[in-house]
Amino acid sequence: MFRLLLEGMGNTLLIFFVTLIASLPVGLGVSFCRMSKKPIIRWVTKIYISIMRGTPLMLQLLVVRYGPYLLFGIRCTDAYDIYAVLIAFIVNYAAYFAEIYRSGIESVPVGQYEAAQILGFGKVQTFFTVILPQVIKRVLPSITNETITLVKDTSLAFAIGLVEMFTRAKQIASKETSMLPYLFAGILYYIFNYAVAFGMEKAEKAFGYYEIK
Amino acid sequence: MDEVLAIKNIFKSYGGKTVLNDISLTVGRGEVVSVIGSSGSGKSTLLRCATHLTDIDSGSVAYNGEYMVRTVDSKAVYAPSRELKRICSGFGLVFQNHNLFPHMTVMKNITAAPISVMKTNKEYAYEKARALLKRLDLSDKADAYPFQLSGGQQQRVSIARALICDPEILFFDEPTSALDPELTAGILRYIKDLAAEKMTMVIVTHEMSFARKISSRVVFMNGGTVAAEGAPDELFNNCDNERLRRFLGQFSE
Repeated sequence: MFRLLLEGMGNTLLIFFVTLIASLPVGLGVSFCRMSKKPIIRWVTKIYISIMRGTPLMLQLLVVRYGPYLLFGIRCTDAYDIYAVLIAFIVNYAAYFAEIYRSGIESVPVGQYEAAQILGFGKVQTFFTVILPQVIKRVLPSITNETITLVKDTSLAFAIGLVEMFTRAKQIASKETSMLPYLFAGILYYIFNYAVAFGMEKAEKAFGYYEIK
Repeated sequence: MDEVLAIKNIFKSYGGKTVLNDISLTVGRGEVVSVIGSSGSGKSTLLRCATHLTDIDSGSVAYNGEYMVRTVDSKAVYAPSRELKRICSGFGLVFQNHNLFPHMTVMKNITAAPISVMKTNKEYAYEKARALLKRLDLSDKADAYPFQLSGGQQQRVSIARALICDPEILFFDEPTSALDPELTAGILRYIKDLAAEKMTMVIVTHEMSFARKISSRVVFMNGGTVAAEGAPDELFNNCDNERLRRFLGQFSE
């Protein structure tokens, strides 16, 4: 049983890492659009973020998975399942991360930009050498929260029948009419999150070498 | 006279309120000009306009005869970005609240501009920074982070950060307003040393006795205009100007 659960863990890990690695930089790009000087870009981004935050991720997942067929009659094979999950998760998490970045970027005092300007830094240089390092420190606790939620959200892939750890647990549980698979799945999620929290705490410590006033 | 800075007839308003109303000011090489006046008189805005942190509405600002901004068809036109950057590299600014980069050590704060912007050789930049730190009595703080320093030390670091770029003119925006009297005296001593070396400086300050002692010229601003201007002794004894007399009166108590 444990072996079957761990097999399911493969997809869980895949969803987790790909979503995290892709949505962190994509979210930064989205946050730039959200703060764009052009109203049209700003508004489109605002609507996108609002939809992502205002509707259930499970619904978004179903739309990405079955939308192509229901809307355009495009048949997708089961191989599309995993891609549908990744697309839905990345698009959704990028929106959340974008708002976190935005709050972080906006909390950097304007004096930091002015000091950089006086010293002759260009805009890009200012962002990467002066602003971003401070933003990362400010947003890490919020990123940790989202990352932990992501671990648990991977179980939503169940909704489209993608076999990951939760789907496996459900299958075994109904076959053996036992509560144990759920218990074990719960323990595995917990361990996973414990590792995430531990890693993020280390990251926060790594950025704790200075204080921001 | 060799004019480092020439500000002519600048206007600036925020939301319908005129903050700078036809201000002109020239600063010659080696001059120390103090700008005094009550809060809201436009002193800080003048400094921000001179250093391109704030865009002016009309008028002109030139460094060494080169226009940073001039007015064409009643519109303020700034120099093309490359040229603007070069002109702006000729001045430095020390902020009231220092604006040091909190995530960089003192050494990195000071050498960031020479290394990343001016592409100076690293070793040379470090050497120059160490000399500046020694001069500002901060030799043992090179590896400290700003939050580990006192307010006075932070302000000294920001002076070093401005000096390392060899500015032709250095602006100070109320450099001691955030400090207690003891630390203020410390900072003023370093500025005095710079004055003795004929560093061209424009200092917005509330320290009247200091302005009187080190300035070659004092400018009194009131309501967005230059209300009085002159040599320190002349200006501080100017009893004809009612507003100036009232302003100075607040400090003699």
